[in-house]
Formats: sequence, C-alpha cells, structure tokens
Amino acid sequence: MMKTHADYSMRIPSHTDNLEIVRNFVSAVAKKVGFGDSEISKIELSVDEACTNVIEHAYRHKAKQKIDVAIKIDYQKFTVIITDRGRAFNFKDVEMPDMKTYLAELRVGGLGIYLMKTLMDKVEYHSTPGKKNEVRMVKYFLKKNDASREAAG
Amino acid sequence: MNGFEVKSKEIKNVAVVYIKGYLDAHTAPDFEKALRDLVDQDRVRLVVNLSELNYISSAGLGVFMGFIEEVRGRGGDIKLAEMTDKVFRVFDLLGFPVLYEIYGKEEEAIQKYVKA
Repeated sequence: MMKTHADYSMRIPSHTDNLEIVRNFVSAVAKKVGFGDSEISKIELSVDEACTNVIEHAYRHKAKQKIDVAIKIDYQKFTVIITDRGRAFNFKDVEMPDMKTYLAELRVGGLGIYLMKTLMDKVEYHSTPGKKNEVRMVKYFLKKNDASREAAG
Repeated sequence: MNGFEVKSKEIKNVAVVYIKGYLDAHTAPDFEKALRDLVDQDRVRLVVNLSELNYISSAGLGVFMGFIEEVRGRGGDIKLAEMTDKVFRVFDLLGFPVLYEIYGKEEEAIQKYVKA
C-alpha cells in the first residue's frame, strides 16, 4: 500500500454524462494506491452517488455548473472531496432509511446518502452558504481494529 | 458517451430484458423507458438478465423499485438473473434480495413463470 502524500483533482461540468469519467478517475487512483476490487467498488459508487446528488439537487441539472473532485492521500487514508457552488442542503436532516421499512413500502429514491455512509469509513458535509458545499468521504487504508491488532501483535 | 444497452426478447411468453454496461443516473432513464414500453404492452412477466451489467448505482436500483408494485399489481413480476458478484453486492447491501427473486440462470427464472 502506497503511504506517501499525493493529491489528484479534476473538474467536470455538472452533467450525468460525466459520472463515468469521475468513476474511472477515482477508481484509477484507488487502484494505484493499492485498494482491492471490493474497496475500489465502494469508493467508486460513493463518489457517483455524491456527484449525482450535486447534479440533481445542488445544481438542479444546470449543466454549465462545475463540480470539483479532489483526492487527497496521506499515510493513513484516502479522502475524496466533492465541491459544488450550488444550493446547500441539510445533510444532517437526511434520515437514514430503515431498509426493511423502505423495501416493505416499495419506496423509490433517497438511497444515495445511505450508500455513501455505509460504504465509506467517514462522510462529512460542510456548507458555506452562498459560497460552496463540500462532501468529504474517507476510506482508511487500515481499519481501526486492524491497526490495534497490528499494535497488539 | 453512452455505456449502456438494453434489449429484450420474448421467451415462453416471458419478456427477457438484457442490460449491459453501466446503469447510473445517466443511463437509468433508458432502462426506465424500456421497461415502461414493455409494461405498457402488458408484458409484465419480466426477467432481467444482468450478466453483462458492470455497474449499478442507486439511480439504477430506483428503476427496479419504480416498477415492482405496478408489475405485481398486474399479475406479473420482475425476476433477476445472472447477476455478477459486483452488482449483487450492491443489491445485497440494501436488502433487495428480500424483495426480488434472484436466479443464477435466466432459464430458471423463466421456468418459475412457466410452472406458476
């Protein structure tokens, strides 16, 4: 696993047509730093969901707007930061669906944030009203229990 | 760029839908339209073959959710077949196997309708 610091970034027009480009970008970097296929899939899907939210909710399909996707790598974690300058939304108020109820009631939509929070180790949302909104998602190279096991061993 | 294809054919009075490539917020409307066309022609006994689907996001899952009530209400179903492990992991994470029958082979899913 690569442990050196590195930054990667790209800017895309806010259109669903570009989701594939973003997925390919984050997957390539995740692969380069040594994540396995299963973790790469989780990062790829989380970033897709975050960008889809920006396209649909923050920018409401205005394709002239821009989304910045940055990846920061340090010795312990892989952080993806997705920044937009559209409408803020109250991330904390988004309820995590109870999947049993969700499926029983045949609901549609609203699973993006659930997936992001389930698939990544940490998800944070920061908004500076009128300026920018930022979703920050982290995947650790070693899970905390792995690290303590290593320390104990 | 459009990395998604949807085709369908009739086998033993079952509409088998083949989806290929990437099912995300960009391509979900194509899949939705294909299912809408079938359902509007009263073809509600559906099998979706996902063997060539490389990727699914919540937008794609939403299409399955969007039709299930209507299709079952009209005496049909959406049965899934030949899903790759990668796509299955996303379905499984959200508990979708509770709601959808998933088969290893397309033929098994078709037979479920034939025998019913």
